[in-house]
Amino acid sequence: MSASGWIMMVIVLGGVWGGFVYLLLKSARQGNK
Amino acid sequence: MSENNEQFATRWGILLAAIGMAVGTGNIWRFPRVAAANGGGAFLIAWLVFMFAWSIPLVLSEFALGKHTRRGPAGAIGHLIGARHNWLGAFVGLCTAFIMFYYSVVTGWCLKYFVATLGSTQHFAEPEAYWQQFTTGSIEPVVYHFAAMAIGCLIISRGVVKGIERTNRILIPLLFLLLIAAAARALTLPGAMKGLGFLFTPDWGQLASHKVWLEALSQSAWSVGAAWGLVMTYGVYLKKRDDFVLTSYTTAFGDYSASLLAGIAVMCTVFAVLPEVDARAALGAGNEGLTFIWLPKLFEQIPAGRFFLALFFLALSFAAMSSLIAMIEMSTRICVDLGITRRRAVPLVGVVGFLLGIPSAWKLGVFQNQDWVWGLGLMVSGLFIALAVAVFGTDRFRREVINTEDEPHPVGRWFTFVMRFVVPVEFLALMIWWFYQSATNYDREGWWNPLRTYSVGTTVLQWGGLIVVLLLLNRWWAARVGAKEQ
Repeated sequence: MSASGWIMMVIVLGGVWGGFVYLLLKSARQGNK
Repeated sequence: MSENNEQFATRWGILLAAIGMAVGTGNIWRFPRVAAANGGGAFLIAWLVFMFAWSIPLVLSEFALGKHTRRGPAGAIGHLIGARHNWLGAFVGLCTAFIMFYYSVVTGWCLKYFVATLGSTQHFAEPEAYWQQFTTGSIEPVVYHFAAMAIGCLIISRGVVKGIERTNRILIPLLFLLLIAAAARALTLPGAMKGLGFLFTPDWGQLASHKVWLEALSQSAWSVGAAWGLVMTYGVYLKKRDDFVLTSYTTAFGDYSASLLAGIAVMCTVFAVLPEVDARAALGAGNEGLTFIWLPKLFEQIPAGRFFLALFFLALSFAAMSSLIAMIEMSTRICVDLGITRRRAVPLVGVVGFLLGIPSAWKLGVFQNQDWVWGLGLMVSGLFIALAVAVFGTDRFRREVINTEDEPHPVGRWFTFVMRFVVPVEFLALMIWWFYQSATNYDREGWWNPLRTYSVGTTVLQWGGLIVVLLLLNRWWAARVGAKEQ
C-alpha cells in the first residue's frame, strides 16, 4: 500500500474508531441510569 | 392516541438499541464494494462529510421529535406542526414499513446461509447453483422470511426493556466481536495489504466526480438509519432526562466503525484470494452476488474458512435482526398511535409483514423493485422531516426541542444551517442522480414504464399512490393520533 494509503487509513480509522471509543467513554461517565 | 409508554431502563440500553437499529446488512455487504468502486480513500472523505451533512442532523431531529411529542412517525409531525401536515410523518413510517416487508426476506437469507454453513460441506461447492436453487422455485426463502418475522415479533412482544433492550445488549457486543474476528482473520491472510490499499488509497481525482459524492451520500443516508422513523420511535421511549445528543453522535460513529470493520474483512479476503481482475468482478457482482456467491467461494479457499464463513453469516444475521426488530417496533408504534393495543398490534404487524413480504421472497425481481423504490423513498422521508422542522422553525426547533434544559450537550447553529439549506439541496441532487441513472444506465428503454424494476415510472407511481392515499386519509388519521388542529 502506498504512503498516502497508510496516511488515509490512520486518519479514517483513528477518526472513526477513536471517535466511537471516545463517545462510548463519555457515555460511560454519565452512568447507566 | 398513545398508550402509556414503556421507557428504556438504562443509557446503555438506548445506545445499543440505536446502534443495532443503524448497523444492518448495508454496512457489511454494500459499504466495502461501494467504497472500493469509488476511489477508496477519496470516497471515505466524502462519506465522512455526509455523516455531519445528512445523517447526524436527521437522527437528532428524529430523537427530538419522538421524545418531544411522545409519538412515532404516525403522529409526531402532526403533533408538532399541525394536523394538516400529519401525512408527512405517516409517509416516513409507511416507507420504512414497506422496507420491513422485504428486509425480513433478507434477514431470512442470512439465517439460511448461517444454518447452511453448519451443515454439509457440499452446500458451497457450487455457490452460484446453490444461490440460484435457493432463490428460484423454492419455498425456502418464504419459510426463512417467516422465521425472521416470527423471531422479530417474539422479541418485540416482550416489550421495550425485556425485548428490544435485552436483545440488543447481547446482539450488538457479539456483532462487534464477530466483525473484529473476521477483520483480524482477513488481515492475517497473505496479500491482505492489497485489499487495504484498495479501501484506503485515495484517488484524489475522484473527489472532482459528482458520482463519488452522491454514492457517499447515499451510503451514509441508508446506513446510519436517518429518516427511517426508527429513531423517532425509540425517542418515544426516552426518559425526560435522557441525553439523546450524545447518543445520536455515538450511533453514527458506531455505524461507521462497523462499516470499516466489514470493509477490512471483505476487501482483504477478496484481494488475498483472487487475482485483481477477478476481485473487481466479485466486487461488481452486487450485494447479493458478492455476499452469497463470491464470499462462500473465497472462504472455501482459506484455512479454517468454513468456521469464519459461519462467523460471517452469524454477524450478518445479527446485524439484520437488530435492524428488523427496530422496523417491527416502528410498525407496532404506528398501530399503537392509531389506537390499537400493543398486544394486538404486534401479531397484526407480524401477519401483514409476512404476507406482504411473500412476493419479495418468491421473486427476486419484486425484491429488487421494492428495494429501489423504498430505498430511494428514504430520501423523500429525509426531505419531509427537514420540511416539518422548517415549518416549525429550524432554529426554534434546535433551541426549544433539542436544546432543552435536560440536554447536557446542546447542539450548535450548524444544525440550523444543514437542515435548512444542505438537506434539501442533497435531496434534489440525489433524486436527479438516481433518476438519471435509471434513464441512462439501468433501463434506458423503459425508464418511464411503471411496470419495470428500476424505472423512474415505478418509483413515481408507488410514492404517488402512497401520498394520495395518505392525503385522502389525513383528516381521519390525524384525529386518531391526536395531532394538533392549527
